[in-house]
Amino acid sequence: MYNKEVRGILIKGNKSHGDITREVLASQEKKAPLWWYFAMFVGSVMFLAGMWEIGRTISIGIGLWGNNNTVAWGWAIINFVWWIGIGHAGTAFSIFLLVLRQKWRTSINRAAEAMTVFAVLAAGLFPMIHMGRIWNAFFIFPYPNTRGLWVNYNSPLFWDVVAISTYLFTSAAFWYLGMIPDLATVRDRSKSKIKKQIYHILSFGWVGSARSWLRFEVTAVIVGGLAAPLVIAVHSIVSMDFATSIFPGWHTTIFPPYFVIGAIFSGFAMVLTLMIIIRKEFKLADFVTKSHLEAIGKILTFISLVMGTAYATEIFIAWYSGSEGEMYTFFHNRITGDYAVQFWTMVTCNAIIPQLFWFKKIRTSITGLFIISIIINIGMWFERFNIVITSLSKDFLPANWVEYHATSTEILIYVGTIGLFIVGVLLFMRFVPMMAMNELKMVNKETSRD
Amino acid sequence: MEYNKIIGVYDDEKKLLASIDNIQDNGYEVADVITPFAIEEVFEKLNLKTKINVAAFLYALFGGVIGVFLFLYYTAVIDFPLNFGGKPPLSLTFVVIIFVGTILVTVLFTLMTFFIRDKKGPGAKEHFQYPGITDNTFLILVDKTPSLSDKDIKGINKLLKDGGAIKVEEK
Repeated sequence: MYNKEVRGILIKGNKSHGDITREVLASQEKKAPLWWYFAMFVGSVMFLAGMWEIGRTISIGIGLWGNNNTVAWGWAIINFVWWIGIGHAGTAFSIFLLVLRQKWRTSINRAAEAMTVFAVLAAGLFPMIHMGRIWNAFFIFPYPNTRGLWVNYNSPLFWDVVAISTYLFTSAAFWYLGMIPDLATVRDRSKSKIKKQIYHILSFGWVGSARSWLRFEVTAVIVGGLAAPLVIAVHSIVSMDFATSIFPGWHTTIFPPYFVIGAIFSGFAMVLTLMIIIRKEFKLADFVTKSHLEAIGKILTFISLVMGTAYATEIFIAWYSGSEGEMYTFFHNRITGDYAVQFWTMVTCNAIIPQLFWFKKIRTSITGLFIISIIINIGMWFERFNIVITSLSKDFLPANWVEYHATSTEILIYVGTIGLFIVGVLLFMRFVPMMAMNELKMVNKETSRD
Repeated sequence: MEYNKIIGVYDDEKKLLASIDNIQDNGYEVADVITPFAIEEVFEKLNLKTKINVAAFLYALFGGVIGVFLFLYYTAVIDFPLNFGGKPPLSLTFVVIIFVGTILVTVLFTLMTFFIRDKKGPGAKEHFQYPGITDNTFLILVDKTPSLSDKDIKGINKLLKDGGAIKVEEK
């Protein structure tokens, strides 16, 4: 299966193994470009603004947010689910394509995995600050407190704690494990003594003997293989935070697969955004070819169809159930009503615009891919807005109905997490090999004929 | 025991694989092969095996499935059974936590096994150094054991060179 040239050339330019090392590491060995410093500055300012507002939230209280008794979950949970969704792509990308023996993953998996780690870190912040009293956050872990009381294992919120911390650990470990041989390459090429010493510590004494490679490969397959069901489990569990309640719009069995596919959708779109920037700014177009980007475009077209089907199914079931609450939520609070703009933005961005990828011209245009990948992530944010806000704002008791408006604190915390993501990705671009060089070399000879 | 080595240096994996065959066909043993990336054929030719997969299965079974279940059972059924909405203390919701907990335990212990077994860790010393081995250079190492005569050593040198080595060294 591996020898079939379904996808054509994966690495352009008839490169030798040495060329791969030089070109992938060029971005680290040269001085950082000016845009990198500018982006770093912008990202840091955004991050600090977010940290400032988190500090205020902790010291003053959740009253700074737009949440109220009716809409108890606001932007914090929307952003949490959004970031977790993006964080799913790395592992999904890396592992699912590994299992499916898709060699074209080798140019992209490292960046996708890095993205996962930063996105999950950003996501993890929200539930913690949402508690209000963050210094008691350790209460969520299963340990006997002074009353000898353990946590409630029947609660999906506790499942979330277990699943997300496991996911963060597993994806970070998988990412780092894969990086060890490449960090050794950086170590061996370093001319500065300090840099050599740092990468010596980071590369764990890697040499590349056959025994090490065998153990490494087996360990990577086990960790990766276990991360694959974890991707499905984590977002299914996140969906159960909603689906196990009785709110109209939440109380539905479609949620787990709907959330998982949505997460992969937004994550793949973010991978596309990131890879387009990396290939252009670091001149790595020989490794991330148009055929790579087109392949992601095709996957997004398919997932977009699934998303459209999920939206239609939700609406159909609301009507078919005959439940007044469900009917009201979908037909008078989403399709029409107070939140119609958000609903139609979601449908347009996720189910309609990505269908433009059916046209080869758009699918192979870098600008087209870049714009649509961003549109998808905007659409996915609105999807979470629709789920969280519309269902909560108007439940079974009309006397409780209120509208929700985010405050500047919530907006800045969100901006801060985007800053955290930007800073993390920029540091990754500068200090870690952006592509899995050892894996690229593995596929180099058979797939690089030009 | 650590012996001095005869080192064949290659710049191409195909030549490396042919050379391993040459050495083995002539009755000599390849001590190690160092490559910049994983080559499955090398594992097969050197007949290398690992039991990390078996260890991972045992971690999953005993640490994960049984260990996590026992922990949940002890805390929720024996130590402090709580009545949440009339649900039984031993409930099916355990499955969710056992599933994720098994993955956590298995990943953690498998990684630990890999690092301990392969003597890898932050700041660990590289057991062998040679320029380019993490970039584009491939090495075949043959142990200079006392049982090898001068004639054998010359023969190994020749086999490595004939196999396409760009350099053969002894150290």
